[in-house]
Amino acid sequence: MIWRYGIKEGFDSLRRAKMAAFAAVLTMAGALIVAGVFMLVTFNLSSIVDTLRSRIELEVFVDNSRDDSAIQALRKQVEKITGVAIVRYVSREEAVEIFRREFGSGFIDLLHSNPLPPSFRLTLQKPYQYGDAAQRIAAQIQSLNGIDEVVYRQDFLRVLDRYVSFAIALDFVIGLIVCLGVVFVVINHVRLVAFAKRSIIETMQLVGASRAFVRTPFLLQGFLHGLLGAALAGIFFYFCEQILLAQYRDLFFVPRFFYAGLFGLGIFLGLFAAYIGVRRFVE
Amino acid sequence: MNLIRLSNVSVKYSGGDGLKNVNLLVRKSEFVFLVGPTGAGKSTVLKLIYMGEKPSAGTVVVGKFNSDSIAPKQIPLLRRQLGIVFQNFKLLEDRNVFDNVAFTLIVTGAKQRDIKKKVLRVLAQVGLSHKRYKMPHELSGGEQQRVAIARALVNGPFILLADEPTGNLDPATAAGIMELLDKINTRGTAVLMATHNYNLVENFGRRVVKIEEGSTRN
Repeated sequence: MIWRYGIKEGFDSLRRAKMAAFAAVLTMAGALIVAGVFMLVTFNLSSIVDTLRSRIELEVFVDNSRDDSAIQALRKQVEKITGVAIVRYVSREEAVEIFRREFGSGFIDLLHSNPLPPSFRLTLQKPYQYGDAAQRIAAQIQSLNGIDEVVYRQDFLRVLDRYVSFAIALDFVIGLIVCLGVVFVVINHVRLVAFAKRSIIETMQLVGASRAFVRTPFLLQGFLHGLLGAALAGIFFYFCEQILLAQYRDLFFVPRFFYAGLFGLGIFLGLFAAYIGVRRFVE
Repeated sequence: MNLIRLSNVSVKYSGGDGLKNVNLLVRKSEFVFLVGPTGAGKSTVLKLIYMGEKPSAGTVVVGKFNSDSIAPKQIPLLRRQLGIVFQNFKLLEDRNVFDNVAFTLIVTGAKQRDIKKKVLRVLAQVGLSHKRYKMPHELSGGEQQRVAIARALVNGPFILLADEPTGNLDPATAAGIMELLDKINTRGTAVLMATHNYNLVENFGRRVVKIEEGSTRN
């Protein structure tokens, strides 16, 4: 009975106050667009940073005098170090090829012997793609017998660590402010609607309606506001995505769960705001 | 059998003007007037009875419910056994007479087929069957109060609490409402009516409880 009444009353209220309902849906859509833009910026920023981190390589030069079996033994030792993801062996011959590719063949062909040492190029597992962890791993490798030198972009990682943590903290603070703003706007809207209906709420309670019974139509309205607002915001993002992807396919992406998240957030905000908004008027 | 008992009840407000050691007893099928000037505490007594307010001291017992032990979720159950009528009617302006009365039954989870039968019966009782599809703003003050009484009665309450039900009405219409309340009482429903109108009470010949400056005098 509660649900039947709640659904009927919820839809009736939307029908009776079309303009208020329209305004609520637009408010929700606007709020979700702001939150959605913020989410997309965050996702894209995190993705760029993750890509940069995953490209960090440690170049481990092996003592030139080591024979193949000693190099293989070293490789096994390096692979066992915690945090090391992939180890690729670069032989002396391959090193020459790389040198030729990058700097041309003039200089290397002047020499009668190959001065380049064999090396390992290794990538790090995701949790270890940070300055401190990379430094620890590099030091561990360096201490192995037969390793000449470990080279990696230590400064770049440090810069990334410093500025990305700042950017993430800033992103988090802005995100929190945006979300709180969104919640505040939607709660206020529901509160106004509930205020306009306070006499109905009072009468319902005086004739013996339970709190759940009083809240149900408001919650349903909140649900519908969230759903329709998310649908509008979804349409907005879909068109923006088509326009942006056509021009910046490599720079910009929309995560697969974004639209589901938008609907989830819309419904959650609608319900939460309705609950908070009506709570003040229910004994 | 006592329906309502207030024992040494006090209510304190930060701004003053509460209740002090109020005692009140309403028995089954009794008609009791609670009389006093504006601001004496009549509405607060009614509020205590429907548990819209908790006493600062003393105990309120309504049927099987006790203010000392009632849980918040039991309050709707108590109110379903009471009928409450206000001076300003408190009708829902966005629905017609039938729906206003049916509202009480919907809220309490009555079956659809019972709702129509009960609403039509109670509207006949207050003489408004022919206006069941009218909106509240299309009715006179007296008719609106009759709708409010019908809404209060439709659940078959053991007592009707009426807070200045004639306060907004002219003398002739007020007399009609009093007649209706009397008829309801003779059918077995107890009535506790708060009013500041001493003349109305004198002509009625029922038990009167006076309330002045927050205290009762029988």
